[in-house]
Amino acid sequence: MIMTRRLFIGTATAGLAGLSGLLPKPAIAAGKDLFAAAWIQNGGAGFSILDGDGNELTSVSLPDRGHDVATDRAGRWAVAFARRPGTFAVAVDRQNGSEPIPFSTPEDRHFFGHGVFSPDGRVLYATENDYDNAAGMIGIYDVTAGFNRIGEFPSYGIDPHELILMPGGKTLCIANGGIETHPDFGRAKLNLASMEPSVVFVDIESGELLEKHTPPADLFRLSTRHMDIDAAGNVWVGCQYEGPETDEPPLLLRVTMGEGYKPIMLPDQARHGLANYVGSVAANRSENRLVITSPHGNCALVLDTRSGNLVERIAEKNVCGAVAQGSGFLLSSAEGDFGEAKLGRSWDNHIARLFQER
Amino acid sequence: MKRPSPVLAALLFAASLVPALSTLPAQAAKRSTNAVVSEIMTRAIEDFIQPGYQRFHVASEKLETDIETLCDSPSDETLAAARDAFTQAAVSWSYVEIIRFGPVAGENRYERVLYYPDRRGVGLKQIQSLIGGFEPYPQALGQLQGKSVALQGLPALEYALFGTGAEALASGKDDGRCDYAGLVAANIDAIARELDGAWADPEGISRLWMNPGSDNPVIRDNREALVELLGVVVHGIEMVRDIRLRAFLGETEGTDRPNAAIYRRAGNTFASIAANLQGIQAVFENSGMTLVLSEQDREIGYRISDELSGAIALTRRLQGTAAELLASPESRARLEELRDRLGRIKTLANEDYGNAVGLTAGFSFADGD
Repeated sequence: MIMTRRLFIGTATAGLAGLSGLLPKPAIAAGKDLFAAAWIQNGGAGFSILDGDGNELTSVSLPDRGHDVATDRAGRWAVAFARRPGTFAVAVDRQNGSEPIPFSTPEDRHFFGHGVFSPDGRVLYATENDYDNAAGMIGIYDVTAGFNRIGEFPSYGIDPHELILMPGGKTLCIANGGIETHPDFGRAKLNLASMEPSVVFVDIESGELLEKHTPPADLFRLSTRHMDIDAAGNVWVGCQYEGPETDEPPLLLRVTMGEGYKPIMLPDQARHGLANYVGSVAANRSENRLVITSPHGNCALVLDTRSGNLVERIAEKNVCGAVAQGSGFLLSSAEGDFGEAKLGRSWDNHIARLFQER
Repeated sequence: MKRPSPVLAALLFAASLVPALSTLPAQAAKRSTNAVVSEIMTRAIEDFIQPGYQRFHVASEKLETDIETLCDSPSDETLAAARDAFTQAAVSWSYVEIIRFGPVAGENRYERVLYYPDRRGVGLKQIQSLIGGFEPYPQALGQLQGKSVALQGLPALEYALFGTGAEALASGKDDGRCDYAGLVAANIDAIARELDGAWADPEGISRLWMNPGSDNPVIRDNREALVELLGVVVHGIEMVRDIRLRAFLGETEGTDRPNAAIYRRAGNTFASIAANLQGIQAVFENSGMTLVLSEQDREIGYRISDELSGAIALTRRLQGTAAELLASPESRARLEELRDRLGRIKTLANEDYGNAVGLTAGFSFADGD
């Protein structure tokens, strides 16, 4: 069992047949909760579109390990991104059922594994690394032209990881992890003595910086990486700490536009259990709940977004993927768990919902 | 091939009860595993970490002393002695630098000892600016410790002792360069003393690592303890391959970068890499990580040991500088062989060993992202 039963009142996941295949299915099953997630299995990699019971509708091979999947509001597109320092992305068109569309970064960039669509679904924004200049960039891709890259703007920091669209659709929130990497050195972290994490708000049209929030100086090794938004429009940021294990930094921050950071203080035992590593953050806005997961600590914590109080702790080996489902959350793990289903795949860190607005 | 030491043989029976950490249903088997993992952690600390930092501390003290002698009595002989002491300190650091947890992760200690790779040459420019007289030298240890980490550790000291113009140190006409080298050596020694002391403290970090438990804020259970040690091996091999070897060995001859080799000025590139690998070997073998493997999986441990021994032997046969080795197709092929061997060790440790101890997707799957 890998679902928060106590919060789980009821979902619309029942009834989908176990369809699976190599090509996308053209029909969009309106009203169903559908999800997408990347995986590895027996040395191969791919991503799948599946329902909350783990029934696969689509499975697409990837050339290497993927990370997150971006989806548009209409439920037409699912785009899987390479894990850093990979340069590929693969888009699946669920409306037309055409062959998956591969695209990639320019030669001097790589993806960081996350992206987000514009509200109208015509543009895709992806976090990227201008590695020769140690600068974070947001690549802009034209969905209507085969995901042709049409521009970029800075992320106003190093190591942009997850980015999300703020309510209203005019502002991007970007978590700059602050860690310099370069593909010449694999996944090595090159600047731990001078990390510069930040959370920034950027105008989606102009690419102009609206706000930049940096942790206090004594928390410069607190890498800000994953985010979601609560019902009140606050951004909850999960962090990974690069300092000594004996330090006890706040691993969850709440960032509010116009106000800045508020560290969320978790009970000692719950914080210790995260092993200074949060791998995924997901909000259930209708229930005012937030889940943060730690595959290093083998646990997930559920919080009340109104009070910031811990509601539930779930022990689960290698748990990381998380998304709102019904009145609860759907979680996945590297052990093959996908909600209640046990599949023979190691799920990567994230689960995306295909229908973001229902 | 190195087999488990006789001292550990008594634990093999207990270990044979334990096919994998993740599949331990019985309370009796759990107790046995607790004993084995606790023994592994204790040995990793007592047989590798503590003596490793102690050796680095001793070498750093001698380095500080020999540079002081050089500054007081400059000559070819005292310069040679200081350079030799640098080599000893750099190699003793290389042995333990694969440890990235504990006190070395605090107060930028790791980076203050070793700022490398310097991909954009930032550190080199800062050192050249100091030695070239464009910036004033720090006059006290506190001043040095307030400057860039690139000016505080072994690469900066290497440049001071071996870089352009270093021969002036033998004449005493060095315009403050020797005193700067002395400050850097004092800084390295201070950090070495902190690391040695912290791990030697029986009530300190060692106690946490030797005693996993639910109330332990760092290591909560045996699985975490073993994963952390496996991380030293996997990340250590990745570091040697990706940051040491690939720093100068390109995918093709045209992309080689001999000037990026670590300690190239001191001629210590391969002595350092060999020490890195010896440290990884010590973690794996001295701790007895093979002990938690079931009878049928124990061959994985022996294969890792064999490959590590082969990699160390291969590195020791690499005579010359990175530039010299890259210039010859024959020796360049040996560097590629080393790179490929390190790749095999990583796969064995990450996937085969990781799977055998219950990490379904391999160790690296949970690496930060």
